[in-house]
Amino acid sequence: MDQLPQQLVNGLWQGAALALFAVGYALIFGSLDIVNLAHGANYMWGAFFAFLIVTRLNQPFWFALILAMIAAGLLAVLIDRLAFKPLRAMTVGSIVLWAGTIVLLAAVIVPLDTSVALAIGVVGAAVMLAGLILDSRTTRLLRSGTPPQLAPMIASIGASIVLISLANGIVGARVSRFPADVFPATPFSFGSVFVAPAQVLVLVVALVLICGLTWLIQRTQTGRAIRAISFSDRTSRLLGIPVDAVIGQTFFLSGTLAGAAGALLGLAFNRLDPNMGTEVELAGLTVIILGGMGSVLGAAVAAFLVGMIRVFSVAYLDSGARDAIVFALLIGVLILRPAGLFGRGSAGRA
Amino acid sequence: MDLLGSNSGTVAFVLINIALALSIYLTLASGMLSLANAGFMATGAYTAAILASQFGLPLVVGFVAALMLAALLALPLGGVLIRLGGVYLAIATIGFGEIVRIGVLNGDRLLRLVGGASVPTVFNGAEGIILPYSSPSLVLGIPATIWPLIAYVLALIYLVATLKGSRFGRVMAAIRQDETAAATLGIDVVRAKLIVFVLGAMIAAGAGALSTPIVRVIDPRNYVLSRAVDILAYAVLGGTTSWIGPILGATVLTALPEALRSLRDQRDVVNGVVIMLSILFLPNGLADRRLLRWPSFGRAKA
Repeated sequence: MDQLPQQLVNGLWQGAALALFAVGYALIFGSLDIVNLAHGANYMWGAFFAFLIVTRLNQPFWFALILAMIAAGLLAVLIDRLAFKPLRAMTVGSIVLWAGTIVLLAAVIVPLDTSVALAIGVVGAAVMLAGLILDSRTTRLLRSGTPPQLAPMIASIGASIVLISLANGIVGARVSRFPADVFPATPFSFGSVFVAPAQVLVLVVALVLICGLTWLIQRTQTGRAIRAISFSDRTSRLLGIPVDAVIGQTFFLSGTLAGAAGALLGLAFNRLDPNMGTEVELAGLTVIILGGMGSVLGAAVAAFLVGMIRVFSVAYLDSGARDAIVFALLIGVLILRPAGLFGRGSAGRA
Repeated sequence: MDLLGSNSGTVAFVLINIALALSIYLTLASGMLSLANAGFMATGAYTAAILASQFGLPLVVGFVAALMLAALLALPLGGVLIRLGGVYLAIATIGFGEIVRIGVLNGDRLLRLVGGASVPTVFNGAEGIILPYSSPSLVLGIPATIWPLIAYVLALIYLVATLKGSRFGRVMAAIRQDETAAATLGIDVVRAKLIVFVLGAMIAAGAGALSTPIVRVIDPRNYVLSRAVDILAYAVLGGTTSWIGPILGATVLTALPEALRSLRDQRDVVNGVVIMLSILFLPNGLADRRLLRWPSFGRAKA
């Protein structure tokens, strides 16, 4: 039992990173009732944005972290405009945006001359930008009525496949690693407990960001708008809240958190691959269900719980048991207490 | 003469995927999004592969055993899970799929815990079970391994098409449209959903069992979440309002990557875009009545 303090420390920082990931998940579910299964791909791209900035542009990690968060946030907004917004409010802009996206994707995936691909890609990006602007300006909807219940989830699965496959093509399916000199590696030691500087960074940044998000949601105008929309988007619209803009901001926040989690965990484990989002996605699902779908505080607390369970099951049982225990917990909570440990009680059974 | 030539692999996978798409179609047509199909497919594949590799039993035995085991698993699982609505059922079934994957990955260790260290290697962890290769003989110009699949898919189409017009098919449609209303009409919603869930599980397990002579390497990576997602994509692209949809969707999405072979790693981009576009712009899928009966385009509105 002498490894107990070390395992507690491991559970703490891994739980913090998981909390960072899951809070973004919960934010989207809470305000839009959408399970955004592209959140894991967003996390993965956050890690790769940081990786590319560090290795290709030779920038320090802290700078790469900030840029990666912004890039992941913008990516989340794009996912909303492509996958979710057309379902709730399709405009002419959505179609223009999609046309641009298809052109851009074609330029990326079809093997072409570099200059030709670049030219087509720029045209695609320009059309996408025009589509985004058009989409935010037009109010005339091409379709009315609510989408089928499961449509957003399936659309986000499609987005996730695209993003993972793009990463496979651009970075390669192999495991990438940050260069050794990007962050100090000498661990601090407290008696028998060792803590790497990267792990301290994960814990500190995660706590700061989660506290920042809580402050933003509770105390600012944007936060009030987000909470109003989570209560009822129809009422919010009647009260003059620019619903689609606020939803865009919510996605941006959620994406930056996923990006931060990806970049930080990518650094702490120093192991990046295009499928890294899938594993954390499933752990994240467990966390938001355990925490009560949509409850940000619940997600944070549940993340530490799940982080501890994962670390301890590896240390004391078996590495294969780790995920099995987490999923058994997931199913157990769904059956016994579908509103989650901190849920508002109404969610769950249809 | 080999009628299919080098395409026999693609044809086999199209047939397997049609069976899987029909399995998820049944649950979707009753308003349930269950992603447990990959897990049940793994159950079936491992059952048939273990019976073949350890006991040398023929595929027929493996197939029947796979159906029975899937029913045995799906009955209690469905009993607790189908009460969950919408995304919660989806998430819980994702959890089930992962537990099956982790279970077969560590299957040998579990067996040794129960039976002692002398138990031979059965599941073979991440490397999986490798069945011996034998060049399939041709029967009527088609490899013998494909005939069971053809028969299976035809039987499934018959089953699903008959179901659609039957009383039970109308019960399923009623539940899909409004569960509460269906319950008020005296339909035993839980029982009907459980039957559909078990049926879907058995179909997926049967497809898994029949796929073993074709894939030959049965390893856990074949049955991960992305597999379940692929199956869902077949049904979504094709549409779930009629049984033609999943068949169309599975055929297009299985043949498409073969046609896009030049894109190599990034073929999946096309798959993902197709899923997104079909959910956004073709909410009823390719087998939309309005598209099939094109002369009445624009007027046919439910």
